[in-house]
Amino acid sequence: MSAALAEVAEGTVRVGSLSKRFAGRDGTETLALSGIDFTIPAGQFVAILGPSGCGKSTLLRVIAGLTDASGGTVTIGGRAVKGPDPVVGIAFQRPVLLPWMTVRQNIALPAELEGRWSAAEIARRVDALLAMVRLPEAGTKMPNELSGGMQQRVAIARALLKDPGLLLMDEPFGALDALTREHLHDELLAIWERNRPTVVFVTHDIAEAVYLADRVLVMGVRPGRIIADIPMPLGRPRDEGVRGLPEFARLGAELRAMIPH
Amino acid sequence: MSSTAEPARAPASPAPPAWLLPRLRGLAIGTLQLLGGLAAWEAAVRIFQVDPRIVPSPIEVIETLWALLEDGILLDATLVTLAETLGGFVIGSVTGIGLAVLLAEVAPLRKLLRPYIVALQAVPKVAVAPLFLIWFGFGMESKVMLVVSIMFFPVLVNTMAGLAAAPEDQLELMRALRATRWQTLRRVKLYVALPYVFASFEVCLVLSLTAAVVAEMLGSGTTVGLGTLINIYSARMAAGGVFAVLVVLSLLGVALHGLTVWAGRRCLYWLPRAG
Repeated sequence: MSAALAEVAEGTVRVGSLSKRFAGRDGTETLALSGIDFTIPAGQFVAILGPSGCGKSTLLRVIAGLTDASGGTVTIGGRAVKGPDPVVGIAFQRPVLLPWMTVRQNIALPAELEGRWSAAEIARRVDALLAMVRLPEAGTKMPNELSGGMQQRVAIARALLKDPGLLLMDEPFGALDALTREHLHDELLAIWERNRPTVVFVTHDIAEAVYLADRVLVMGVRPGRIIADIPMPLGRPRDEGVRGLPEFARLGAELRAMIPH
Repeated sequence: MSSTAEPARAPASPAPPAWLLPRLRGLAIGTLQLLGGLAAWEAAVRIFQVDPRIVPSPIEVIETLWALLEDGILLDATLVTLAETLGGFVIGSVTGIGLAVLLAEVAPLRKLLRPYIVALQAVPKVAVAPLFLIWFGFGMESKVMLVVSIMFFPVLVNTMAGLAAAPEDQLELMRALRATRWQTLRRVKLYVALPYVFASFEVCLVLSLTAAVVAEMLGSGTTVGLGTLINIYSARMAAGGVFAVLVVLSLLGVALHGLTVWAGRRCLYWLPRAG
């Protein structure tokens, strides 16, 4: 392999000496992110865990190309991020469905905008995704006819439409009740097992991070930085039983001890 | 419990559907209100022996209305006024929405034109009507143009406000999906703006009917609209004719308003209905 043109797998994420400053209204600058370094190999499920205000959403937005970094580099599949990347699927904290479109049209939106696939191909994929997120009957419904959990499922289906090599998720289950959230954890893992895209999953929920991720990056505050990088050796596939394992409790306690208050 | 366990309570005679009763009641109340008002009017005119050239009785108005309808003159005039109103409405809305999109998307143009727009918007449109007669003649064009000037600014301003009201998270979604500017406009911003556009229609369509009538009253040559008829009948001291035209105008106003509300509901299908 030549060093200059090394082939990098599509879903690999590299973040190097990343920093982000925000200019305040009074001219003072806030250092939101500082000295962030990590590499995520393709296919890994990584949770970024931290207290609110640690800049974890900002970090995700920088990787997504929605915000510029103030310093450092981000690459996806070896390409420097200069804006939103076509191989990235993204799910936000809120579903952000367009209320004037049906569920089908919402899921199809990324492909409709790209205009690369035929209508038949898009329809086939939307059908598959509706089944995958267990909403096979909801295609013709309008978003406001769905519950919050169903809307978030639609948003995840939309993020998965183009078979992204990298899936970015910003606390996608944060606004849901605990039962719905645990259901969606299992659904997300089942979906992830099919193609195993790289996942960067931002959360402040310790149990969520342990249950979902292969690896947890713990963030500290002021400035936002990575203070720990911990593997979650719980095996795959995971199911409800994992939550009862002593190892699950131990990992949770280990993470809890690290998170700044 | 299964539904079969419940004893079926079949009514002896089929009851009217639940929605029908309140509607019938509303219709009955409305009819009584109308008849009551007309009766009071008729009674007042008779008791006080009002000169019919000043205030005609409702019976006279209805007779005149019928005579004018049979004559065909009222229908022709209504069609002329309606054509002016709708023509001006369409031209005013299309240009208003078009310019709004252009200004919303092109910031330098917006900055350049804003002072002119604010200045023109402040001009009382009816005061310009005589100028329009000079510029566009005594035919329908000058009336259409006055309607356009009434429609244009509210539609422009409301559409611009609507285009700017797109929620940040929806715009960010479109950015993340690498949407072009045109795609973001067509799939997000225009939908967000649509309720604002309809709000301006609802306010302006009735105003534009007024504008067409005012323009007709200020001067119309060979084309006879409802405003022209008002001029003719008032010159003859024929209050019955004036009132007949007023009845047609209010019916027209109510119909146009109802039409906008209905079209708004159809077009804004995704909004939760109030009531």
